[in-house]
Amino acid sequence: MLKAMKQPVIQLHDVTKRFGSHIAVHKLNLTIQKGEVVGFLGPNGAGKTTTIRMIMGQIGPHDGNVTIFGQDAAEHAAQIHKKVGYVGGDMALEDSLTGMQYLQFVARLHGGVNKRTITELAHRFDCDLHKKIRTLSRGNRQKIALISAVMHNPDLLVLDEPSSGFDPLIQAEFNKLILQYKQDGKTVFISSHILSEVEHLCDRLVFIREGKVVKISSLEELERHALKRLKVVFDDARDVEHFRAIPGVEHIASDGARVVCRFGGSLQELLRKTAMLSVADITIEEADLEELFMQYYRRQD
Amino acid sequence: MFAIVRTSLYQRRWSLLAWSIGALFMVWLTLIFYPSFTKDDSLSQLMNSLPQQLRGLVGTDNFKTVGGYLDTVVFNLRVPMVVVTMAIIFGINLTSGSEDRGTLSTLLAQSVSRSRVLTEKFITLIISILVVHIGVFVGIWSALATIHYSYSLNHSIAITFTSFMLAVSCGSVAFALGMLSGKKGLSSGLATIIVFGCYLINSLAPSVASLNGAQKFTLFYYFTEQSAASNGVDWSYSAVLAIITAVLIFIGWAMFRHRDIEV
Repeated sequence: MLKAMKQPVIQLHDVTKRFGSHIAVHKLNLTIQKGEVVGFLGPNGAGKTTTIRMIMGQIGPHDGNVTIFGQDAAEHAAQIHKKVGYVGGDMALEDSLTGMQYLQFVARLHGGVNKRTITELAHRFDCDLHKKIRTLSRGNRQKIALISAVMHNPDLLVLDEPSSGFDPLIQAEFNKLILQYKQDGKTVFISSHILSEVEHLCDRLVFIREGKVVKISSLEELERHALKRLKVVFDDARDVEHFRAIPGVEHIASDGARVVCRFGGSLQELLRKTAMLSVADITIEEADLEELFMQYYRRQD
Repeated sequence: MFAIVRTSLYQRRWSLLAWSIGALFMVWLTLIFYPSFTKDDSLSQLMNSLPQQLRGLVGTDNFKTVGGYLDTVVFNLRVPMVVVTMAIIFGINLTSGSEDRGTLSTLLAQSVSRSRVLTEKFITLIISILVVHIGVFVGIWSALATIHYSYSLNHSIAITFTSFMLAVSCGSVAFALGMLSGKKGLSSGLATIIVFGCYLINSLAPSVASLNGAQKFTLFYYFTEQSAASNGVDWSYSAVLAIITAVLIFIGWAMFRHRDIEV
């Protein structure tokens, strides 16, 4: 089991990609192990799609190398893609075909997929396969793209903002599918610019900004470092100043003996120090991951 | 096997049908007037009265026989323009057009190599041109049946074949440019300039001394010089068209294998 977890599926080594004078990805290093579900997060223009397109072999790096299942992503794309399912943000499908015709076409490219598998997936995602793709809404087109990505039961799913256009019911079904992949020991690499979309699916989160990885973290680690929101009421307003001196207390706003602040230090230390003060009431709210996420977006190195 | 060919042809079935019927009708409509050309000397006189430069564009007056009429009237301008235009449109649509729509990128995300994509798309182009030429061939024989004239089956196959070879080579210009650049506007513009530039040079060369040497560098020269409706296929000229096609496709393939996909 331990051995299985140490098999790198996606490896990017010092990868740089330029478009003219613009550096889209700069010396990116990233390794995704077998069985991991990894979220790839960043604002628009951070380099997420460029990275994913290099992983899919559609574009090549100027420097560094991208390997998938140990093979060069561009050189052996056809062989690699037998084991890969891919969904793009707004994938261009063959509009003049019906959903079923398109899926059968993709199935033939993969060497054949049982028609029953296709209909079962269509039923699961409530997808009408008999309409021409050009007549479908964006969400329904995404469903067809998702079915085409999973119908050949790939070992690796590469998803670039896949759930845009999904309604809540389909989003829930999509989440179940990803968790099912996770249970089966398969690998999922999913990009998004919305943390809440992926945070409960992923083992690790990779933050990218301006083409560079700014943070790689597990959700637990992220939660540990996320600023918690504290509300404290003191019996004695003079204790506010003592409270302000506790390491980790930030962004403090006080109204007499009532204090609201962010806390990013050790909870043990906080409780030990506040116990010595005249605390009448204290509320510690859950870590605000979105706020931390925004910090990664904004922070300058 | 050939999933891309089958799907691409299926998607283009109505367009192909329209081009084929259009080509058939155009050949039929031009050929049914053949008897009036043979009976009336005024056209020969008109041709002789034209300046030499214009005569090069219109064709010679060798239209007293069915073969001559096919070579100089039907296949001098009309059919080549239709089949070459169709070949360029299809060549672009299958390559940079597909890339522009984003469907090439989606296709390459499946387990299919770039070489296979190029090969199957080129086969699609060849079959599409062939289907339109079936229309051309049927057009010849339906017109001959309408005017009750007989003609050599071999020569009708020969002129259809050489026209097919010309269309494939011109379509290959567009196809190769689309594959190597991935830019729809650039590839379609360049292909149009190259192909129709070749046509103009070849047409004007007999009348313009400075263009004499340039004629052999045009694709149309290796079509018109055969006069296949009168003389049958000249295999050496057809081989030149085939070699040019092969070189173009090889260049397209060599560039397409390693370049970035646009969308």
